[in-house]
Amino acid sequence: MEAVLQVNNLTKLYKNGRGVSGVTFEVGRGDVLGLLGPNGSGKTTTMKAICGLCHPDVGESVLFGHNVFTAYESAMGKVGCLIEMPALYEYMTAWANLKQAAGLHPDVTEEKLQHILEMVRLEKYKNDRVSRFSLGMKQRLGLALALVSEPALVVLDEPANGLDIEGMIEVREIITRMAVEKGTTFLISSHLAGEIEKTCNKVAVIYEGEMLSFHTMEEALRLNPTLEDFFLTTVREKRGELIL
Amino acid sequence: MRLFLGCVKNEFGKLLHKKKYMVFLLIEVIFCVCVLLIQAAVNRAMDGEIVLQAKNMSLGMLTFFIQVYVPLVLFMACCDLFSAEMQDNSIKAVLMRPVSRFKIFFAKTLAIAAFAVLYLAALFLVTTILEVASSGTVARFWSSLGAYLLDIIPLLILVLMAVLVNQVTKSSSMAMFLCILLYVVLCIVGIVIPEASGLLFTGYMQWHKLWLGAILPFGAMLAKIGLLCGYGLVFGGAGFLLFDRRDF
Repeated sequence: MEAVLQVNNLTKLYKNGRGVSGVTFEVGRGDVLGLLGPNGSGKTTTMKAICGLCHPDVGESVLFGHNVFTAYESAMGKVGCLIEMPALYEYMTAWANLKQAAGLHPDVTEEKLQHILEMVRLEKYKNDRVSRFSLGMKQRLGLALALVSEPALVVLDEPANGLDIEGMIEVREIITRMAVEKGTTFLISSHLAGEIEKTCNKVAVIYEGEMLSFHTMEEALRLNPTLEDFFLTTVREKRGELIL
Repeated sequence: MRLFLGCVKNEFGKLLHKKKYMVFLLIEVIFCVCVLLIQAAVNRAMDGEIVLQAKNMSLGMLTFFIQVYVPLVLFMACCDLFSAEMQDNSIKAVLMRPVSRFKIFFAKTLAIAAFAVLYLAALFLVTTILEVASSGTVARFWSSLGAYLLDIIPLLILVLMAVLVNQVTKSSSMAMFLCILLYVVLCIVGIVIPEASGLLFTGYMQWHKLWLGAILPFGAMLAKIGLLCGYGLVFGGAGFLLFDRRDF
């Protein structure tokens, strides 16, 4: 399997003692990996460290064979990200935001930008200022920005944030379509087990800064009726609680 | 290089998107016109006739703008491109692109410096037009142009200082306050302790006076150039180090 992303012993601890410790996993081409964990479990920190937004204490993140901390530009060349809240210039229009992003990817054409806007259903609002957008619209624009460069790896932190039911389904469809048709790899974090179950083919459980398990969706659901049950079983095992 | 230039263009575009900078540019123009009209009113009061005299206006205006107005606008631009973006997290929009932090840092710095040049260019243009309109000719055109070009150098150091200050805090209002405070303190120290003014870069804000006025010996000029370069290296190096080590 061609490894798109390799995370080795990634450790990042903040002054308050929170963070992640010893996270190790590997994702191949076309995989859709879901990081499942409760709020504050270290999902976002893991994603930030993978994309070089924060410096880990120990460990490395290798994207397409390049270490993100030593060869940033080569590593991030084919990566699109949406981490925490969408990073948008609120004083600009949606179109201007996309143009800003396209300015750093010389082969992105205006037609391509238009297509992405249509894909996230924002074409009607392209000349509106982002400051007037709802949370869901901002999330859609954030997703569009992550897809501007036709990335081979997309890192999405809580992509369903602020989206209505239709929006969530549309995002899920976009992810599945890109993974199947183009072989795009996705790394998605969520605290919603149902969302991960419907979208991903692999799942990793992160709990209190530790990666407790890494399985394919089939393996995870073999002994558990739902991913929620799998998550609870994994967490209880970690706590040493009696499982009946 | 293409990525770096794209990044500079983006950062410059962000500043142009903010209407306040166009308003400040307009104020600069209006201020020059007002000064000319006030001069005419004073002349009328003294001699009884209205005479528009804009002789040497380019250099006269430069003294005020380079010392007070342009630095304030630059501080604001620095805060908008660094601390304000860190505060509202929009800096991630560029940090998550395949552009190294080195390029991002210096692209932002260069965009702010380019903005300073824009303000100086507008000032030169307006004052020159006013000179031509009032007296029909431009006195000392080339020396005025040279003065404007020379004064860009200390402004670059000022930009690097403001950028460094912006790495210390995430709050844009605090960064703005610190920039102004530091600049005022350095200016005051230069006035109160004249011996120190030669060592402070703020003492060279009117850099053109050293070149176009009484020319100093070559060795002394070289020392002053070295001093400004030293400030630039320290501010730029320290600023980048803090920016590169920051977790976003």
